[in-house]
Amino acid sequence: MGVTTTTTLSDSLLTQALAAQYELLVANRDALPMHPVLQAGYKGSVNMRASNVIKVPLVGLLGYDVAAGVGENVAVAPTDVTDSSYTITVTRHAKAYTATDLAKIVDALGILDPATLAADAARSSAIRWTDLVCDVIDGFSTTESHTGVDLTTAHVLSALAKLNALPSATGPAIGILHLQQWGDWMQDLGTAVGGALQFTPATGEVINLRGQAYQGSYLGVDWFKSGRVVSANAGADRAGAVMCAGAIGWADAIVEAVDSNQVSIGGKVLFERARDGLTGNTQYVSSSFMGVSKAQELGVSIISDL
Amino acid sequence: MSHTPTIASATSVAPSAVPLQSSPPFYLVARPQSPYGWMVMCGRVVPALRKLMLVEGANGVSTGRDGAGRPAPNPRHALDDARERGEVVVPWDVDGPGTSYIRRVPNTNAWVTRWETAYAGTDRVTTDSEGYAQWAESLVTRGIVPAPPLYALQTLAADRQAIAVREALKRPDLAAGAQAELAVVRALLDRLEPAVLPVDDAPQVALDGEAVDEPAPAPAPRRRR
Repeated sequence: MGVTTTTTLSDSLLTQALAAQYELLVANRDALPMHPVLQAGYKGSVNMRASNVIKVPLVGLLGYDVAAGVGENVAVAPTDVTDSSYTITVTRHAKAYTATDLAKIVDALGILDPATLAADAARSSAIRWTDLVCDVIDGFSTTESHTGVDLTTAHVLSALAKLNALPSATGPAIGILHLQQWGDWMQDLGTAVGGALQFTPATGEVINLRGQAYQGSYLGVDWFKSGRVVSANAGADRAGAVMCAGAIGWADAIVEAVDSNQVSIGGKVLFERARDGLTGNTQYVSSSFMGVSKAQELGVSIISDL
Repeated sequence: MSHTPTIASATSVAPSAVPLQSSPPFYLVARPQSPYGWMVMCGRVVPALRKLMLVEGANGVSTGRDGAGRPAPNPRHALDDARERGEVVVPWDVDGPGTSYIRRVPNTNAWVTRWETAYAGTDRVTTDSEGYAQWAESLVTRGIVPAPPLYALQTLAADRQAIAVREALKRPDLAAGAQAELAVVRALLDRLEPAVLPVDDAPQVALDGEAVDEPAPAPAPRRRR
């Protein structure tokens, strides 16, 4: 007497059925928000400026050169205005997906839906900007370096003392640490015999404003964690930073959609569809234009064990 | 009696690739004149090398063309900026023609130093810290990076001492590590300090602020009453 099982019914069953929803692969998706320290570094767009390189003059006025005492009836020697500069090179950052017509037809989850890919383009661009910031902040001359040692409160306090000792390092400050650095510091903060310094963890409302990377405030510094923070010392460590306004400068380009196959996302990301009817392929291309440079020594790189 | 369990079928999935986050190629850059340009690693005082990432858009790196006409990062501005700040960009082939201190992990877009090892199926990377510290120290002994100035070593010693004191109560383990690093820096300082030039050549300054040629007479010692 035959028994019907899933094995005998193999011609009528699928070996696997798709779940109704897909889940995102694990990745470092948290982008830095427009914190005031980062906003202060924005030097505009390169649109209509005849170059993709912006030169930012650094001028020694308003207290850089101070008056000197001069004797009576002695001519004062004229002083040259001290100046310097740094540059920001704006380049294209792009990504493209190509899908066949058949793949789009059978896509049951909307993975190849243009709106999904447009959202992906916007997030990717923001993360790329975070990458550029992280590629720069390990380069401050002043460092708090503890290779092979987990980050502790003492290290953070020392970094903040060095930051406060830098001329012109005033106003709000931002700290950006690697996930591991953050975890190490929180372990130290939470378990070691402590002082009276209060860490204020991020609340839901503030996370809504500043994004998931925001962790809280400590000694007036807004702390963010990011998996994009670069490694140091042959991968043994990570190099985050704490910095004030003026530490980094950045620039971008405003993009406009010029035909019906293009969309400008927030004026920053150009998302477009390119159709190749001969092959039955559709390309979804996103482009943004930005550049980040270290500006002045108004930050401290924090290097600790990975 | 068999100790091997029976399973329906063996897996046919290939070994997983290295799931490393992509990271661009880079130069290592020393800041020998910076008070914070040095560190203690594996018992050695070595230059604290930073990465100059070859990422278009970061620190003045632009898009250029390689020898075959393909798009490639052009770091000219970034390299010029670094040298203008007195930094030393360590060339990839510093150890001889055909060598490099960076390499790309196969089947990834991740560039790492040659002292890093990646493993299939994990994003964990291990580091041969001893090998790296030896190499970083050799940059100084080979004359590629100038020796640390005295003030940098003094800053490093003060830094380690401060950490050792601060951690003494809370984290004795870290205090001991900082003490050990301090001993390394002090040993080097002890060797170097006698070679410091006295400041005989500094101009003597009169009270009105104008430099005078003759050395001012030494002040008479004050007597305590």
